[in-house]
Amino acid sequence: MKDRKKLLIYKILLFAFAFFIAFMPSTAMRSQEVNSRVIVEILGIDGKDKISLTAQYVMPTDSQESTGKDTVTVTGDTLTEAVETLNTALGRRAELGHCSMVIIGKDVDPSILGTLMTATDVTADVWLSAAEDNAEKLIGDITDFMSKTGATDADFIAYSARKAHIATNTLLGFLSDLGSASKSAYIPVVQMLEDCSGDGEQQGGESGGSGGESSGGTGGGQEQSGSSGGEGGGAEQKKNTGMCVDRLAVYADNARVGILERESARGVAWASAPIEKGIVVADIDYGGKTVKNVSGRLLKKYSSVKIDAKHERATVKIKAYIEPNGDKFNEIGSSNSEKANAALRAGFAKQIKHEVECAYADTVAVNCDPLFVGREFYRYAPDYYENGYVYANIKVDVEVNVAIK
Amino acid sequence: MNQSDTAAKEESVGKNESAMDVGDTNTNMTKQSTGRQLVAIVFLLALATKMFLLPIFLIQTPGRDAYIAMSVFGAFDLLLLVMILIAIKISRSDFFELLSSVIGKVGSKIAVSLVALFLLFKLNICVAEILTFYGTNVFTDFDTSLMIVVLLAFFTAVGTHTLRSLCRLNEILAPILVVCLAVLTVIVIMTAVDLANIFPAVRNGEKFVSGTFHHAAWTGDFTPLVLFIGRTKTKKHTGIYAAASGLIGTATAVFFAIVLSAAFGNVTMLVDSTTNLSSILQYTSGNVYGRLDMFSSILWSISVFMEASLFFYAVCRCITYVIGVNKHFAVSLGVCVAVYVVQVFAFLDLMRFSIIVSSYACSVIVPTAAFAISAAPLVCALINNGKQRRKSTEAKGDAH
Amino acid sequence: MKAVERITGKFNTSENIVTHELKCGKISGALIVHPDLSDAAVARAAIFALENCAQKLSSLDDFVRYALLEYDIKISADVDDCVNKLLNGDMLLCAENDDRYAVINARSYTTRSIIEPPTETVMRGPREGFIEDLKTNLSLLERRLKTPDLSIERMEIGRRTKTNIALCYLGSVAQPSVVKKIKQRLSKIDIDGVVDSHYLVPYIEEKPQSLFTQTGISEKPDVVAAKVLEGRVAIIVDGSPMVVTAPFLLLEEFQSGEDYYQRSAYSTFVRILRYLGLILATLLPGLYVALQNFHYTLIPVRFMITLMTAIKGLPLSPLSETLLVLLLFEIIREASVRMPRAVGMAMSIVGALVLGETAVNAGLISSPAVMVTALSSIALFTVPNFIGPMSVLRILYTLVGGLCGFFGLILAVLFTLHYICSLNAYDTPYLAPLAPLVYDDFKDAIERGPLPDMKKRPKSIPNINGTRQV
Repeated sequence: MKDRKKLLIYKILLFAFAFFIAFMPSTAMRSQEVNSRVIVEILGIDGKDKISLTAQYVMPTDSQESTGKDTVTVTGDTLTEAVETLNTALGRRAELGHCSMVIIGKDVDPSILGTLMTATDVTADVWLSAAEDNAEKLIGDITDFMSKTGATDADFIAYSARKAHIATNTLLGFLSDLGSASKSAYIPVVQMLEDCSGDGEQQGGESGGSGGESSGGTGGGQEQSGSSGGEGGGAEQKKNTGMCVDRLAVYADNARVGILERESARGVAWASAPIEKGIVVADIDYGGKTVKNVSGRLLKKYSSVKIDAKHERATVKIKAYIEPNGDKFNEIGSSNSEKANAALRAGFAKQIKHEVECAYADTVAVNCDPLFVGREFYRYAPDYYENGYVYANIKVDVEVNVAIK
Repeated sequence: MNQSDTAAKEESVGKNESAMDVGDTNTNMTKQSTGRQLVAIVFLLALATKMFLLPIFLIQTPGRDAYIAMSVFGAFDLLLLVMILIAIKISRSDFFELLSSVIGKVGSKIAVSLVALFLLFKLNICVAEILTFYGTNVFTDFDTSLMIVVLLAFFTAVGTHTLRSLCRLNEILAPILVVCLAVLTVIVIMTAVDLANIFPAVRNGEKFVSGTFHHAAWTGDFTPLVLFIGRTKTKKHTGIYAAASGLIGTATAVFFAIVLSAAFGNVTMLVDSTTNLSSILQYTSGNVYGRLDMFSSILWSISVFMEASLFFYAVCRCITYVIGVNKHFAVSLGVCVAVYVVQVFAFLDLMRFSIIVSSYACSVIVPTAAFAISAAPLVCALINNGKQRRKSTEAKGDAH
Repeated sequence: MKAVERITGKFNTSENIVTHELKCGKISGALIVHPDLSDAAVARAAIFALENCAQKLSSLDDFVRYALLEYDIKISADVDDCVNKLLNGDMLLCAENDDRYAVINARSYTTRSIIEPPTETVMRGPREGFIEDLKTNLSLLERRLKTPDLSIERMEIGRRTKTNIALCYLGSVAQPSVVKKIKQRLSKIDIDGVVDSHYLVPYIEEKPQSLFTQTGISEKPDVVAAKVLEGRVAIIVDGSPMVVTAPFLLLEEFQSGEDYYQRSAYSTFVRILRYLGLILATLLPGLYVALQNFHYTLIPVRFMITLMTAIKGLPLSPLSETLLVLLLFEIIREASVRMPRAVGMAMSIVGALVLGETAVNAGLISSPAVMVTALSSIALFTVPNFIGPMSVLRILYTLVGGLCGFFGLILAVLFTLHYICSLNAYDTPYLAPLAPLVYDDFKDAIERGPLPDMKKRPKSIPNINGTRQV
């Protein structure tokens, strides 16, 4: 090899060595970066003026088989300050990138979620849940419950999103809804089920997340047993037996404006495009009598909102494919006639329509638009929206078309 | 079949078939790229930087109309691509010879110097995007002044080797990038973004025009392809395939811009964040199964590495032509130093980078220069062909 | 006798040469033999034959014409050439007053028998392997290529070793320019000795300092015959069982002779496993370190918790830990290769069980790091010919992954790929048929198509006749 070439190679090697040395302090010397973090799986936010953060975190234990889960609550004037305080409280940096659910309390200004997404590592797809009152208490209960069942943090809400007829929302989805022309958004309310009242019906549903579905759908506004913690009061020892998510907290203009009960919540779910699965329960008029609580499984659903700016009308169109099942259905379905089918279609359609109308009625009352009628007007009739749109003035019709499979 | 039959068949079928017919394998040959490689590179250039930071910048200015702005840029770049492809098709001489034959040697050197400056600027945009992506999205602590050295080492290798190596590298990476794109597309579809969020379109015309104009520096991605003129082994339909590839690439970039516009159309202020800078990272597939999306986008960022290396190669070759000495290593090292200085001192932070790139001057100069660079070889090739036709006509006349 | 002196005078130690002086009729002669290299029986028979016809002999030509009819004889007057022949095992017969020598073939070396080569064992297919004898090796190849088209060009390389080399190729298939280039390169070699075919490799390669080998090496005649059939040139070196083939593609490293003796679907599956093996072997430790150091957000939460539990309280950083385990493995591997077989087993137990287990229990290294290294090392052996480059690459990638994360890792891989793409020896793209893409060759690249479908020779290898079957 020529001397010049050799010299060049030596120079390059020298440079590489210098480069390596330069890197040493920052990377080669760092020890176990992973272990300098604490994984936060659920984050709870409370407070309005003063932010309170509750984190359910996971710590590796000496035993390879199990991990310890615990909660910690910190406060700060701003979210960023609270996150910093959380790091201090945990003694290590909180790894929020692995957080899978954010629970927000009653008084929280939802705009803080924007800060959460932009200023921390929390990802856009994290599930949102609302506590009826206090996120800190709910996270404490969830942590206790999880230690018993081994269920993972957001499993139940992920399940609800996929399988149950519950309108769920992600962080980005919520913020996008709130920022849309409807200026409204929803988050499912999570409750713990407690055994002190002994209502067994709550556990008979599709899942823990959709508890109570089998208890009949026509009643509407049915009370959940063992609602959120603290209400039971007294010295009575309450035991968490499961989780329930079938109500919706609705937000408008950066504040929670109310909670939709089960029936209205289902109405919102019907109008929400991504929700495709769940159970429908309806009373069917067939052969001159009413068969109560006939249940069917929702297989597929298409929903859309059509607008007519000229007549200030909007039509929520729903096409649902339902597979009836259960003993009650056998009373009707045994004849297997077109007439029975028509009765089922009409019965389910009536129930769905009723639920959507309930949702509309309840939300108009609080000037919230989770059916996103306003957004449709803005999209397709922007001039009308900007000049004369008032949500309460819009006449909303519901068209339901059910196909029995 | 007896042996003589086979031999006869071999004579007619097998003779002179080798890899040389498929790809240029001869080191001495001037044609260094195959038609297939050109198609792969066009696809990559069509969407690399257009899917990186540009959608984010566009969302911040024209808002939910970002996809229209992207379409405008895409259409403009496709026009430039077509011009370059025609030049590749009709010209036998390379870019430098073309310029030199029309405007003379000195003129061509001046022109190539300007081209090199333009390409250097585009190279710096690419590098800044890469460093911003990794510094903000992928790493928590990213020492730009050190990490850039690794990138420049790769660039030096690119600068010292041939265009053929680069083309082959592109060709081998193209399937990986397509797979990454497919994964990202699936993730995007899984997120079930309401695409109707992009409506209503262009509610604020002034904002749209201004926002689009200020990001015109992202045009001209196909300009390094001028180096392929006269150095690509084209077949009958290479040009059409390359144009189709560019169109598909642009359509993909526009599709992702549409999804991003739909996802962030209502909350445009959220895209200006540290963790959500890349257009693709919005669509997290859930952290329970690991961040497949992030992994795919990191892999996908290879396309921007490749685009940057193509710009780097083009800058090096332009400088080599201007100085007239084939010292590739020295030239590469010089360009690396220039890039280092610009990145570490001029584009120090995203804000400064953004201000420089979206300045009025950049927005005027870049598309104009891109147009000129793409049109120049075509014009020169047409002039050359005209000259040759006249010569041959005269020769025929003389013969008569 | 002057003729004898001329020969013995060339040797420092002339006692190594045996001279039998003869008196055959009217003429005196001498038989010069190298006893270590020649067959004594041939010499004895020659002397006997000469004595039988003593009356008829009056010149060297008569020796050849009457007495030694059945022998392979050439007449030469070149002393150096004759000395060379003598050193190759031939006998020299000379006559008084004649400057010429009759060179009689009496070569006889002790060679080992043809056995299955240890480097390329197969479950199915031929088990013959080349040995150290050129003649035997050529016969092994010629038995498989019974065509007059097979060109065998002999050369002698090495000023002192005078090693015989044979260049084998099919005249109507191999690209003449490639053959010419190889011959040129071989003829330019001016070295004192060539003791093995590997000595020639750097002279044939375009980038001898490269980490990647650019010539094929095989010990199996069936493999070499198949390569020659595809238009390659085989170089057989006397004294070496390793036959060098050129031009060479990287993908050849991932192909085994056995691939063609099994069902094509299974061979394809095995080949894919080898490619996966390459990726695992080279990138896994680097990825592991990069994920731990920089990109833990990408790790699924359950795995991250497991990892955190495993590495809790370790004294070393992830990079140092993984590098340490990798280096330990390399040392153990090197030691076990060099060790006598009897000790090898004990060595493996000590290395794998005692060291690994104890180190994990002592909390010096973590079990994930050991597992990653073990997995990567097992994957390494899926491509036995590529172990060298892969070992070096994985250590480099680990270093880069630990220092610069995915950013550096991606660039390092791009750098390597770009370098490989730039290799282009004998007009053969090293990475073909992947880059440049040669669709027709895909039948025998990642996939191993059924033989009836392979109607053409690989286009990636320059050849002048592409048709393999009609």
